[in-house]
Amino acid sequence: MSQKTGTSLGRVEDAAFLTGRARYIDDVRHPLLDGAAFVVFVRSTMAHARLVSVDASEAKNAPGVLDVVVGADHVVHPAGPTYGIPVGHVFTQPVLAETKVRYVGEPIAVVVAGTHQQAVDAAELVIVDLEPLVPVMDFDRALSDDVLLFEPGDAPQFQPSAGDHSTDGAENGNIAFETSLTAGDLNPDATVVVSERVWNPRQAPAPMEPRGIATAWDDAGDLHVWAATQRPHGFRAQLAEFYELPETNIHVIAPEVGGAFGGKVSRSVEEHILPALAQRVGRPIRWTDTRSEFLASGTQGRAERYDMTLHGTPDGMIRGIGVNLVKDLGAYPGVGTYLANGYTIPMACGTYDIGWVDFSVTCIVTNRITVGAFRGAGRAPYLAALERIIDIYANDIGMDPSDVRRRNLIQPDTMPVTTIAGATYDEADYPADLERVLAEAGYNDLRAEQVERRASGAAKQIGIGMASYCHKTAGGGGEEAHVRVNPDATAVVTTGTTSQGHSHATAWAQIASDVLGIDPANISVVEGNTDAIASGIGAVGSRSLQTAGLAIHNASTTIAENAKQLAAQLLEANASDVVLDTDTGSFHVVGTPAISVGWVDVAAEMTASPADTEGDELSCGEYYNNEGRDTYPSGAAVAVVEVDIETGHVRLTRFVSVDDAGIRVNPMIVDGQLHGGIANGLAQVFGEEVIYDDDGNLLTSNFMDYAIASIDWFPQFELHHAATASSHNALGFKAVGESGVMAATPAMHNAVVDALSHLGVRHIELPCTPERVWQSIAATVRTR
Amino acid sequence: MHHMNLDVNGMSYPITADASRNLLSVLRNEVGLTGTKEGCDDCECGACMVLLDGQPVNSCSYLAAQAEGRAVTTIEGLADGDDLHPLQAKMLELGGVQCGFCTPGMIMSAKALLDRNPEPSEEEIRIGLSGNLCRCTGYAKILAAVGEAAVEIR
Ligand code: FES
Ligand code: FES
Repeated sequence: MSQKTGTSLGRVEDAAFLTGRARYIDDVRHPLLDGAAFVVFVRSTMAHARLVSVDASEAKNAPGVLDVVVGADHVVHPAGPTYGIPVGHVFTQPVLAETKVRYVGEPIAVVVAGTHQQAVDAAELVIVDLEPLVPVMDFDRALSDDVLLFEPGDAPQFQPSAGDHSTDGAENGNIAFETSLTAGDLNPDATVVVSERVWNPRQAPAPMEPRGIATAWDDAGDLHVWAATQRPHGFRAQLAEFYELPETNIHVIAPEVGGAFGGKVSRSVEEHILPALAQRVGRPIRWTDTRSEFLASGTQGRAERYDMTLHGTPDGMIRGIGVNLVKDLGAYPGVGTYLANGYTIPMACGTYDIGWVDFSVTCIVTNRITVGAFRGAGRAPYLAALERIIDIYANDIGMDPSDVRRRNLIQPDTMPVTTIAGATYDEADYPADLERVLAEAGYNDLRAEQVERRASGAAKQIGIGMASYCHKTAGGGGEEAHVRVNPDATAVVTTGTTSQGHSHATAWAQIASDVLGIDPANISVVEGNTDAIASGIGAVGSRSLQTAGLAIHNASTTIAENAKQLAAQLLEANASDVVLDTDTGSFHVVGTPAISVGWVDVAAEMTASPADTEGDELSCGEYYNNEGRDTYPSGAAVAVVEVDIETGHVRLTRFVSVDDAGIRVNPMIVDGQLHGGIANGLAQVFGEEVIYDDDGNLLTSNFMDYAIASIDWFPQFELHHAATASSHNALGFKAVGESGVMAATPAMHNAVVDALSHLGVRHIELPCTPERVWQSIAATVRTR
Repeated sequence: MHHMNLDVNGMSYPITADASRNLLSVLRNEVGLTGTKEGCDDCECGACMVLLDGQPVNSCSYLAAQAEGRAVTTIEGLADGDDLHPLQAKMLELGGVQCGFCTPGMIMSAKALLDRNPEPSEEEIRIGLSGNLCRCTGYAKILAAVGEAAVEIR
């Protein structure tokens, strides 16, 4: 059996998915869940209002109703979870609104009934009296503090975890968090100063499976939770805090999860109250939200406004970047505050050698849904703005955008390199990736074609856009893995990080197989179960491979070494002379492969001679901590679009990329991750955007109005690869889960503007809808 | 309450359910076949796609009672024992599955497409699957898998 890393093995987990046997949250059947009741939330219909009264009396008497709970009932702590890692000034969300509502969709009451339909019917009988307040939707209005979301005395008093929890919401007005970095020196030869405001519109993670949870208490008082979550251990920790239970009395299982993309990281108030309701009614409870409920109450992403200033020389040397970022965190800020310092500011230089940065971030609250994580969170919006301002600069100084990038990219011989923004990038060759993608795209021919089209005055003009990227992954910390070889020569790998489509079962089996010589088909992977392993952070921020992957490798290595000791006893040799042939999974004395023993023999030896063995040699747990040595997957992309200048319609004709994900365990899986990320990134240019009206009503609460990409949006993506081993871990791994997003948005965005640059168009806001494109063309015609 | 016999994957299931129940919910909760998924309940995502006498329908928006007397095929009815249907086998081989939530509906749509058009062009595959949303894959490998499965079936 040859080396598995680097092989595009078909996924070992696929048979269940392909035949309908895979069990997601709604498919879970368990004796503890028999007779489960259902809940429906009564939600705010106003973006900002005082909650005058809630009358649930009629609903309580409706058929099948077991319970109706409102905020004032205080069935759990008055304040809810903080949606992630709290930093700075945190405004927590009440589990059920008590005095005010702050977004359309905020839970006000919850109905528990025997059937889902009964709960739906009774929810309509709950009478909510709201007295409207002025909604804060506009960024500048939020900053002006003329209307505050949190007034003195508003903020809940519950302080769930470490961090600076100011309880007085009025202290900083509508500003949840501020941070900044100024570093380096600005070379005085930077006589060209280019500025532009670049918006990154709000998006919804929108995995195909909505959120869901099922919960029950057992007779011993233990809490059992099945949840579509990216972080079962994190969820358990929050439940422990919330319900004041030891973690050992809480059992969280993430079954198969139908995609997440950051939308299942944060523990929402809806998910937190369910165990309390199950306790009150003495029955298990299930909740799965509908698509429109998910789009109207699950956390969202992006929503960032960049005022970018680039300082450069007339001949294309970028000397400094000024950034003033305002992030809309929605009504109840959470992980967004952490991302600013943890992920956004460290990316200030992108892939470029820049001598000065001046970066400020202001996180505001508005009357919209909370912004949490979304594929590429904290990095993709900034990189999109940076790549955009570079194109504007190139345009202003009359230089080809590829030449500007060539002149400024970080050179490979300097890597690993610590930028002035404080990030240490691992090995990569950004210039080579750019040259390669330009060559693969046929850049010079494309430019020649563009010249021809422009000269012909055709309605359909072509635009060519590019972007270079690297992005911070892992974000410190580690993961635990446990590996065990069974007496029948099968193996089990258990990790705390879990998959929501990330293909862990195959990748983990490949990594273990390379060390143990056991066929990946005979290695099973256990994830998503807090009882199976003590700790886990989870698949967030592209981090599983370069943390859990190393832990699996190291645990497997320990087992292989132990097994050689056992094999040595059988072979009557010195352990140091015994080798494990990973092609065959057998042990022999070096030089005499004809006489060998296998895993079955070794396992039998372990149990047969208890006097000589520990009995657990073939089992090993490892925790791998990257100690801050994060990895930075990178690459470059070229997008080609055709823009109809009469209608504003944009068609993407080509998307070419070169991506460096480090050492790839399974190239097929890597391609799939890239494809998905690219589709997410491109969709933001096409038209995917969460839209609220001025009154704070959500206008995109179904898949008709919230347009995610369908199969007819894109041409075939043209992927090429670099595979530079990272020195930041022993196996050279980087990451890939979010990489596709990074260059896709700015490359296509730049292409759309490029198609119209000869008409005087300098910038178009995302998404580049036909209307917006047409209007920017019309505006230049008017000024000409 | 309505009594009906549903013919699902060649088996007959006597069902008693409210006449307003949709086919998706009856398949999942009464018949007990949970392979068919609900992604929107609004005819927008295709996760609930099943075949009715070979025609693709979104089972979330189809009354179970209307399926009486017609042959319902779900994802569970596609493989022949342990032998995967070529569409399933190609999805596995080419990496068309990630989280798997869209997969059953996607495969049922593809089956309906190949049944009526055994030699679809790339464009025709795109049109045939345009009612099935997938957030994970960017569709590239699904497109390839359906194309190759078509070749294999012919
Ligand atoms: S669940 Fe039927 S189309 Fe989405
Ligand atoms: S594989 Fe996850 S939605 Fe398609």
